[in-house]
Amino acid sequence: MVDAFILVMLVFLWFWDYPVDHPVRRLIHVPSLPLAWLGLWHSWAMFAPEPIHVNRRLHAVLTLTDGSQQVWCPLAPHLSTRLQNTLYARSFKFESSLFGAGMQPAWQSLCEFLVRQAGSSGHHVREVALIRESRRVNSWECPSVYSDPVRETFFRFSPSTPTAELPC
Amino acid sequence: MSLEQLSHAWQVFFHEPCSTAPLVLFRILVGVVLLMNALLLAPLVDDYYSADGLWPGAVWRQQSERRSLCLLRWLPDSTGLFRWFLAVHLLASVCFLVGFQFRFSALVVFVTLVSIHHRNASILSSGDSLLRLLVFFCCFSDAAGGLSIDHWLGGHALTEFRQTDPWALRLMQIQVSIVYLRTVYWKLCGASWRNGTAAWYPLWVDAYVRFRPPRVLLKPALIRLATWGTLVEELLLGAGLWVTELRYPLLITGVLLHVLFDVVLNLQLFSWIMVCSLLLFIWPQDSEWLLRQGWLWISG
Repeated sequence: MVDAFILVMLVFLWFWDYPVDHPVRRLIHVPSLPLAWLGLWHSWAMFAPEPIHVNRRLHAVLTLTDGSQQVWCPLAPHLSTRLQNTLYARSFKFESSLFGAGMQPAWQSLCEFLVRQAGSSGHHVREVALIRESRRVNSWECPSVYSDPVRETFFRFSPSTPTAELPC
Repeated sequence: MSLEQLSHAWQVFFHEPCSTAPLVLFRILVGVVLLMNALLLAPLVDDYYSADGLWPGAVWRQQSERRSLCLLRWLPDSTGLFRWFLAVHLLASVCFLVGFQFRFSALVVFVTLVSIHHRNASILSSGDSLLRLLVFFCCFSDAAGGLSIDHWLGGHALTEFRQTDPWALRLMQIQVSIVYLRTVYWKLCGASWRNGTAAWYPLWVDAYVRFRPPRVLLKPALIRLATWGTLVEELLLGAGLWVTELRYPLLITGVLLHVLFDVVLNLQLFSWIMVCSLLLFIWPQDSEWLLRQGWLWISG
């Protein structure tokens, strides 16, 4: 029994990290699901195939009912201390995950979170716009390290009509 | 090689009894990492694990269906309850560290760790995956076979180490090799790793860089050396740790590589998890010596 378990684990540990369209990876996918369910899923594509080339920052612009605007930014790694950066490394990860595929539910949660925060300070929010600012890192041959920043609104949220989300 | 020889080699590799010392050393180091990990999660509870945070329980339940093990799914969605859950994980990690009711505490650490990870997977990294896998294998190991409360309660001297069937240790060692070999495979799929420029980019991404070397040091030749040097070192670690003569030189360079990563990049506990896993390759007699010296130093 132990040897059978070792064998199953060896196959799973080696092949689960293969590209998902690889024939062996496809073959072991279904039998491996119980192990993945158990939390043994993994990926060792660290800084690979390409390391991240873009500095992405999130901003949220809150338009209040009186027409004024407030800008909210999460903790910025380049503006905080080393201790804060270590403590909040997972926050930076969350910020970069927010821009990934399938994260739309998190965008609305973030907007609702900001509306609640503003509400606790006595402000009523009419609209929240989530803005992504991207600065591409140039190769070392370029005179400037970064390209010009690109800002785009990727989600709008109105607390009065929570279903009327408009992904841009 | 005949089937009989293959079967014999398998038996020797996976089942020939050896000292529990490497597992004991690993248990203590990973126990410390688990405690630090839990303590680092504590200030993030309101933002990432609460009922009204950035990833509320209601949204998570809707999204995750039942595709992953998570005890939190069967508990009411409450921030206070999550804090208690984290406290249970912390307590189990302490028991894991000191080797008290080890198998049970390892199981509790694993299940609570997996549950916390599955509650919000968008803040995880590869280090978390490796930690889950290693703790899983610990559940099957005799890592409390020395320097532990269980060992002491069993009437053994603390610095006396049992002999054990090492298959769980071997699986952990193989896992470490796989991490290095697979990451080299993925990196070789990328043009910037092949042309030697990959090490340049993370240095300018604020979310990752902790210490940016002075610009004068960021010469193309040095960047290429860092990029290709990382690939060569990781490839050597993946395959060379099994070669007796190369093991210690590679362990030293591997630990230095991860310390360097930790100085330059903000990867939270990733480097320390990798260092712990590398130390699984210390020979049993040397692990025993290290643990005995450490115990002598602690006990004065």
